[in-house]
Amino acid sequence: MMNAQYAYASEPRPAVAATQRKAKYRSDEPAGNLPPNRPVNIMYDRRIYRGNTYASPILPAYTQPDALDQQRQMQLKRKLKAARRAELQRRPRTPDAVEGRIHMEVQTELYLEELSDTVPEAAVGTQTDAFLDRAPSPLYIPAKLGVDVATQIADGDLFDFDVEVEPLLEVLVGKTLDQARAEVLEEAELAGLRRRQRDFAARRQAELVEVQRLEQAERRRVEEKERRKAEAARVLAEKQESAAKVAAASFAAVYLANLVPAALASLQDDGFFYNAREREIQQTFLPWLTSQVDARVQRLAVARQLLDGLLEAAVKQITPAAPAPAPQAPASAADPVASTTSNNSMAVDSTNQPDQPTSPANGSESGSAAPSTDEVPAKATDDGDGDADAAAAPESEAQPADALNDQQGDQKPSEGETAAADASAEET
Amino acid sequence: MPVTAPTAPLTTATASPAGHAYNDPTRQNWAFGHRAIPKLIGEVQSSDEALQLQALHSLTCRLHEPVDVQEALVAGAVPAISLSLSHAKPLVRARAVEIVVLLTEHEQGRAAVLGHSHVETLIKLIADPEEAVRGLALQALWNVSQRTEQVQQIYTTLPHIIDHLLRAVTAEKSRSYQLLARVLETLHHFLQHGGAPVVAHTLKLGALTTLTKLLKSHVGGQAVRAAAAEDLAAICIHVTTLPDVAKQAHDAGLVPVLVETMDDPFGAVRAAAVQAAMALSIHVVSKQQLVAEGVAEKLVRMVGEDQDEELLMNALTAIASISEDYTARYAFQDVIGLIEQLKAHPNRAVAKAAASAVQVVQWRP
Repeated sequence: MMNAQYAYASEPRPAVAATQRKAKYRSDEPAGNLPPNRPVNIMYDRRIYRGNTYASPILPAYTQPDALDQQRQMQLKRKLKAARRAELQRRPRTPDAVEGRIHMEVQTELYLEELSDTVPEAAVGTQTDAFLDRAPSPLYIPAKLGVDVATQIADGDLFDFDVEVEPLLEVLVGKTLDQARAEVLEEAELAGLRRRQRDFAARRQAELVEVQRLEQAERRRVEEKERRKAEAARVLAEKQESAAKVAAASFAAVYLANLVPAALASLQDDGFFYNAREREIQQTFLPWLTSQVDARVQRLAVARQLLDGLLEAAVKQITPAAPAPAPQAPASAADPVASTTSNNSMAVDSTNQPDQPTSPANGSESGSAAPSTDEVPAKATDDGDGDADAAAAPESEAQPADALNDQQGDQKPSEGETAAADASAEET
Repeated sequence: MPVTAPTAPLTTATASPAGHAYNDPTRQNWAFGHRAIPKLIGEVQSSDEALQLQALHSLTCRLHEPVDVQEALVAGAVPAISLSLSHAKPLVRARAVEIVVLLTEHEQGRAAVLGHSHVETLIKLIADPEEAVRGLALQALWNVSQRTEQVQQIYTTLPHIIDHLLRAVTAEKSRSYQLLARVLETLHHFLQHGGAPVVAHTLKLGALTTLTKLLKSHVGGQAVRAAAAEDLAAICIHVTTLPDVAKQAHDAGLVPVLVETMDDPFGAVRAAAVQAAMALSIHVVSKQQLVAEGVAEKLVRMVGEDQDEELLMNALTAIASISEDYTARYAFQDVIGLIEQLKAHPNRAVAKAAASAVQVVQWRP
């Protein structure tokens, strides 16, 4: 509490014995081994005066000067004097002073002191008070240290602007120079960086251009290659097409060389090329003619039959026992053409026309029909060519004129046929 | 392309000294130690304009250290300068954009700026009436468009940036050639990293014609001509993928302009022109046009006289491409020995281009 309210400039410390005071030199022993400082009872301190202070003190015996000690001190003094004398004699003495000058002893010590043998004495009577307290101990003034210097303050000695400002200027100039140097270094560094960037950009640009050049060259090569490939493919396709065309043309030429004649022949065989007159004659006129001839022949046959009947009747009336006439030779053996034509014509009219004999008056007109009349009985009955030929044979022998007429008639059809053939050939 | 140095801080000569915060010692707030950057970032959002401007200027001085940049990003510098970018005072806008430029010089700064959609504000600042603000905005856009992913991210969300850049090309022709060069360099980033969609977009806006006219008119110094030629090269590299490239190149008369530019006294311009011709020569019709315009003689002279490695590499690559035309092959027969010697060039890219050129020139059907 006291410590909280009052603070010492230096706190009081307990008195320590002389033996326990702080040694002049440090001890090598560690601090833990040193004996602890114990406070000393001040009542037993020799420095403190004990006893009464109002009576004259009786000096103890040990304060009286000892004779032996005095004697020793005298001897010591004498020895010192002798040594000093010997030293003076040993040391070179100062030479005598120059004429007109004298040597004087001057104090050269640091502290001047008045040299005097006489000790100033003064008798002072004092009468201490009975209860006068002991005078306080004199203030301890330590010995003066250092060097005394005497100066003479001149104008400008206390403050010199040039000197005082020098450190400030050094700092300012130094800082400024330092910053300027830093800025210059920074600029140089930035300039170096920019230069490197420029060089890199230029190299990069050149390499990029080179890469683009190579890419474009490669692209042109590829395009050229594709174009040539396409061109070659196109040429090849054209060649193949041309070859195919040539082959096709040659094959077609070969194939078509006989195509037209074959087609014409086929058409002609099929009857597509026909003469209109001949066709009309064949399809219209000849059938009509044949039908007319057949009708006439039938009428003739009927007439003949009637006549035969009449004659027979007459003959019977006249001669009831007359032999029967010989049968005629077949007409097909003498006139195969006529027989075929007659067969053809009779095939058209076979169902409608009975067998009728041929008539020499109608040889030219019925040339084609004569064989047919010969064949009519055979065809009408449709018993086969042999029977018809056998039936028509006697009639042909009895009528050679008919045969001649038939031949002529046969020629005419043949002529007509040839004419028709010629006409058809001309048409084709 | 010439090196683009970071822009120096805006001089205060244009601002009146009396009202400037730096001339008022009673308003100096020192910021130092570990609390400097956060303190300054806090002051950037202050309502006091003078304090805001002072904080912005202090940040521009501090953010040259990468450690300070990282600390600023962690402390939220990117969202803190949003209002300053749209400030009415041009000096404040300039300082804010300069801070964006300093942040975007580091990858983490670029990511932070792209993530916070400051690009749209920067696009609007391209048309700022103050030249310093325009220049810094273009520098910031140049910084954030250095990689393909960044360009694609910007173009996907803000495709109208191309329109603004092309408009700026036309505008800066009559204002500042330095900014014109910077616009062309920024456009080159988008053309290079944006790919076919960006190139198609620029073709729709007639960029090829604009750039050809710019190159033909010799407007601006070597920086402008070199940048314009590089933009044309970035467009012509798509001649095989975009059919409009060859058509517009023919309509605009690009081939004669490129051949004429190959005689430019500056090596950077010649290198860029050769680069554009090299890209265009992939197209067969353009290749024939180049040969008809006499590009073979120019390339022969370059291979014999020029020592620039980039120029040599482009010239040899162009020779390899143009030699696919048989008339050009005959023209290059005279320098086949020189090209053979270049196969031993210490630069591997030049040696490789020389080997490819020899192979093509000596090809026979």
